Amino acid sequence: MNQPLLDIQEVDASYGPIQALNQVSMHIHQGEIVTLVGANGAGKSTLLMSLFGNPGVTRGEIHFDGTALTSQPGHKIASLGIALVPEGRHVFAQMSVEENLIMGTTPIGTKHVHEDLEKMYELFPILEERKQQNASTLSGGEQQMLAIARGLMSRPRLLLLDEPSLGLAPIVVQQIFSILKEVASGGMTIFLVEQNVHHALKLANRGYVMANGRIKLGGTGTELLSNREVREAYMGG
Amino acid sequence: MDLSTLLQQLVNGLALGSVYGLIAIGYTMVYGIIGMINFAHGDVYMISAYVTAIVIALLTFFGIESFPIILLGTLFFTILINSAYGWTIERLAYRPLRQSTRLAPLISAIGVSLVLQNYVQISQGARSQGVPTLMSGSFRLEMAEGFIQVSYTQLLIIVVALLGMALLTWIIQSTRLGRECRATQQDRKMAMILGINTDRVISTVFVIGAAMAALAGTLVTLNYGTFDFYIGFIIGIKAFTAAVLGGIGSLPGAMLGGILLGMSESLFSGMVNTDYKDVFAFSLLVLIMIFRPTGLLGKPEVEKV
Ligand SMILES: Nc1ncnc2c1ncn2[C@@H]1O[C@H](COP(=O)(O)OP(=O)(O)OP(=O)(O)O)[C@@H](O)[C@H]1O
Ligand SMILES: [Mg+2]
Repeated sequence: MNQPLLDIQEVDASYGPIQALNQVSMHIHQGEIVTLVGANGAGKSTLLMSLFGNPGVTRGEIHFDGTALTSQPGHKIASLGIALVPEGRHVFAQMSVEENLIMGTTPIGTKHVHEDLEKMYELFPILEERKQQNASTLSGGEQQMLAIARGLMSRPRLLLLDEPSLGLAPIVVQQIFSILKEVASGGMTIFLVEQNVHHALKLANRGYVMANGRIKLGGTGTELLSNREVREAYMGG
Repeated sequence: MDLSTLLQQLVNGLALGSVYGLIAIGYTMVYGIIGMINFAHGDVYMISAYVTAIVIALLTFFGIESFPIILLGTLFFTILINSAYGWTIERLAYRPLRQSTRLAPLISAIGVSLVLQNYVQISQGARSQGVPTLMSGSFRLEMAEGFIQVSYTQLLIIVVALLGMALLTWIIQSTRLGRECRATQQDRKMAMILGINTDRVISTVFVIGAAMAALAGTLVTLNYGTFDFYIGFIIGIKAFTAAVLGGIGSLPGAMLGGILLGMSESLFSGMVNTDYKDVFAFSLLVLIMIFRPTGLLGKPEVEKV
């Protein structure tokens, strides 16, 4: 079988004395939608950020399409084709919506910018209405959409999403997941970190469960859902 | 005080304030991007006065006497050399401390300030130096009772400073570099994730600040002539006051704060007392810190997550 697009092998990472990742191994193939679920503090965000060397990986290897990420400075990762939509959105509050989107083009330059802005406004019509507004004036759901669209502006080969449903009303979550489905159907490879296991497994082909910095379990959606521990921990029994 | 004296003080204040504004840009941009007060900034300004004198001496030695060429030549070299200082200081004294406590780079900055002062004092001598007056003459505006006099150099200071500020505003608002600066300022980690080399952006901000200080240093030296190794201290604190007045971290705030401080200092000198003008400026600093620490255009500190 061909090699995975993202290959994480026995990775350790820590914040000072606190070890946040312990022997983490997982992989994603081109075109897959893979989810990672786990309780608060399990180390999910840490795993995503470790791709950008923040925190740095102290042991193990991360390869993206054959390139070792652990030897690259953090700002070089995006240009390899990886976009992260971080937990808490992190839109640039004092920039307009459109400027936020343009910031997303940093790794590839602005040659496709008009075309891609059109695409994003088609995918997220609300952003077109708000394009001149400061991002700080957007609602939480709109900011999440902006963060996703900004991630897509770099035409990534791998989209990393960290809890896109965080703090949003069910209807907005539904909206965002249907847009993600549309993005996925275009062939995008997606790695989705979620606490909302129900939504995550509806979108994903397979998933991993993380606890205390370790991968506890991996498998298809049905396999994970049939696991008693997962049901008890994340689905309320 | 009659109208013409008042206007005269305002014109003087505008020229002085443009200088404060140019220097304040360096304080405010560096604070905006890495949250530190670069106490060595005033001394970078001081360096540019010496470079101005050296370049003028060299140019006249080679027989160049046309004022526009001397002006452009000195501006070119002071900006170049100051930029190198700004870049090097950040690289050597601040970047290695980026992960440590907030206090460490501050102390390092005071150290750099002392190093620059002492090194100039030793290499150039402690006494005050000067450059010859290269441009004299002035406009005279007759008024009902009295007149206003605007010297060509004052006019030059105001025009060049406004051009420099306009250019910088355009860069920050409309270019890729400017967007990268603002992104790094607002959320450094996210900027890195998007592929921005934030270390390079921070270096660039130091270079921009030093270049603006060079602009100020050259203009002032051409205008007033004399300088010594210690001039960076007072003018640095004044420019810092201007940055705080305008709202530290805000670029338009630095310009506005500079001009307001220059004008009020000038009015104070004209109406009250020249000897106490520095006391006036520093009292203003204390008052702003107490009553409006965010300044005129500054935003209240937002906790970053
Ligand atoms: N910047 C940091 N400094 C120190 N410790 C941190 C830092 N960020 C995270 N941690 C710790 O690392 C562990 C993993 O945190 P992480 O944010 O990766 O969890 P998570 O699975 O994303 O949780 P959540 O679902 O709440 O987002 C936690 O114990 C957390 O306290
Ligand atoms: Mg998290």
